[in-house]
Amino acid sequence: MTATATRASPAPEENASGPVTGPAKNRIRETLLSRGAMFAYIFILPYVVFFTIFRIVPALYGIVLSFGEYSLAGQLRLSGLENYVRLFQDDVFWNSLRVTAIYAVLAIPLSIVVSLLMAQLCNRTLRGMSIYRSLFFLPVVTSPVLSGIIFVWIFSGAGPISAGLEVFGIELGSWLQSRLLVLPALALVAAWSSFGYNMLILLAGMLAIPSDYYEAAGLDGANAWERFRYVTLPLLKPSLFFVLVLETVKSFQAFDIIYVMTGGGPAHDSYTLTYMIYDQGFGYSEFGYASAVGVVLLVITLILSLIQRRLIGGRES
Amino acid sequence: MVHRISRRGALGFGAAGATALGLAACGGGDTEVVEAPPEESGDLTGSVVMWIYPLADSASEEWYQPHIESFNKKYPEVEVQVIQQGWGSREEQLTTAISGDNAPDVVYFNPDFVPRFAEEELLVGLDDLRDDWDSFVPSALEEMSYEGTLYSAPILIQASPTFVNQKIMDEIGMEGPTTWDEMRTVGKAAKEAGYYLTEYSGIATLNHNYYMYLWQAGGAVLNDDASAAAFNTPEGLEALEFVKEMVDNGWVPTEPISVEQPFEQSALAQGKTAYSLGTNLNTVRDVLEDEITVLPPMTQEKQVAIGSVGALSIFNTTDSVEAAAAWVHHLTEPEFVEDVCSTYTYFSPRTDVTGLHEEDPPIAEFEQYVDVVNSGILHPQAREIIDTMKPAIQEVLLQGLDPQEALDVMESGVNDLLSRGS
Repeated sequence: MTATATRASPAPEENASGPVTGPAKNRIRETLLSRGAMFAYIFILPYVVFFTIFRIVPALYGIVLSFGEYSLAGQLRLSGLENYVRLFQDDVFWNSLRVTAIYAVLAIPLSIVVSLLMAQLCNRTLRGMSIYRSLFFLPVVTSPVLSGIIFVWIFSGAGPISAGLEVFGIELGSWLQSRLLVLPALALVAAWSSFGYNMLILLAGMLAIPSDYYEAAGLDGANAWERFRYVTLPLLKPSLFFVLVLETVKSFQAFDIIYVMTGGGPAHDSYTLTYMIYDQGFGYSEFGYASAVGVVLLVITLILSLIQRRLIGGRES
Repeated sequence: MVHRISRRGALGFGAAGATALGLAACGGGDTEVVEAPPEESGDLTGSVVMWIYPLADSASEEWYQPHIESFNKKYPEVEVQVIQQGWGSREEQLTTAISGDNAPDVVYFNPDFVPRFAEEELLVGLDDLRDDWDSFVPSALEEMSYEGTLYSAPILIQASPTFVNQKIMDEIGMEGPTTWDEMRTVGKAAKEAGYYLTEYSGIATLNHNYYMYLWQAGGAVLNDDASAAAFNTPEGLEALEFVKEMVDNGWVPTEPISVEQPFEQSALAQGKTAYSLGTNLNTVRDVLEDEITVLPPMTQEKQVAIGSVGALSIFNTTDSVEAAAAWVHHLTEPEFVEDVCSTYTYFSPRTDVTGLHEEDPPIAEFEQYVDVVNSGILHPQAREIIDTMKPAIQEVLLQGLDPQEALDVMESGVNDLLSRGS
């Protein structure tokens, strides 16, 4: 089979790429200042204002805090790079970074593979499919605290997973108390709670693929796997990239499920960077130090997203 | 009237004759203090929000209503709102509220909360709030003081009774243990009968688990001037090895070592645990159907019981410091102390309020052990010290780390923490 279906139509950005000439510049300026554009600015203004106030300003303030000590009484004392020097000498930080990286390596592929499979399953005409899709979305709207409490029991030594495995002579005990199994258990819960949302995005991407490509592939003799591999996957790249970035950010910010299920334990084996930020900030009032960890986390997430964009996303994303 | 006094030596400074209200504040390391309120005042205005926590499972905000009403008879222009928060993440809740400029005016504290918030200069000194502090148990006042200033007014003393599940003890034909060796004997018999000896929570504060065994072994968490760790000693090792022995032998359930459990789901509440090192009897009786027998606190080298002091502090971020002071004064009067302690099975911090549990002999009997209660270390970094030690202890109990190695790791971590300061 030939890899014919690479994209449905040329990406509009390609036509606009290259050096912008004088007349083109004028056209852009006219467009930006047109009456229609003005309306658009007015419509997005509230969002921009709120985004600036509640996202950008706190983020910038967090960066400032990371270079100082902030007391609960509201006094800020700048201390230069002190927090960063302390951070890179802190064993707890390196352990948290390691735990976060392992968790991300487990959770991201697991979540994407599960979401992709479910999207593929839902991408067919079947009686009651809309009900299935709604059911699959339920974990997304389930409170992490509630699902965390249920999963604590599921992964406990007396829970159904351990009991089921014991039938086959496999004794794993409590997953949440095992150094090896605690992160896979948390990754499974993360995949369970997020696949519904990712599935919808991927399903929307799949539904946007013209059926002509599948028909053409079928005429070429492609079987179901080949249609998925050579038609669906390449055309789903933009959606996959979006889901990948989303899951990466979520994995590096994982907190709620971990807080409820393990409290960062056992023995700091599930103590992520976000958990460290929480403890340092809200547990010990070390807001400056917590902000420094937050800035490092931001830089890591940013770098990873850029790498992903370069490797997978491409310009059409 | 507003005046300031020095932080140092403020306790016992006396407020005789000081009846006017006032917030005092002076610079250079001094603290704000309040004076005793007038007995009644229609001129006193303001709004007071108090954060309290469930003093027993059955406790509710409504319970405070009669006390608000009696307070309003004296101070009709003061509005009081009692908000009952959950015990979980108390410090985080407070930190969030304070940093969001939304702190309560009055808050319920246990001793280990005082140093941290006093060090942050967020608390009002209470040395002059009452002129009858000499009617309070001196050690309760001491526990709620930091660097010589009283920052929290005691309303109750908690000494959690040590007890056994009598049904299990009858089944295994033994008496309740009072020493570690007796615990070992009971542990073996209880396990053979399908029960646990006791519980060990690796999630909860160490004040109620490892520290208890450490203190019973004769050890200490920090040295006398709190400048360095003092638990890496034969006593500290003995305590950790004893806990490990209980886990290795299956005398305690392993789940609570790293996973938080609601009390109702604990082995103790389900009647599967023979012995408790100390739990609020009110809470136990609400859930456990079996008969219990109260015992003297556990002894190894020393006899130590689980407990604490419950007290009320005023944040200096309040807009109504005089009203808050009047409210705290009202809640430290004999009437309230008697009501709260008898309702929720605590002991009185006032020496003039006695005989509260005469109709409940097990609790009345345990009052004699209030003197052996150790409520925890009083240090601004108490919570960080606990969080530094907990992972290594969990590693010993669940992953086989050598106890001595764990103590070395903990000592190094705690000393780093102390040298950095709060």
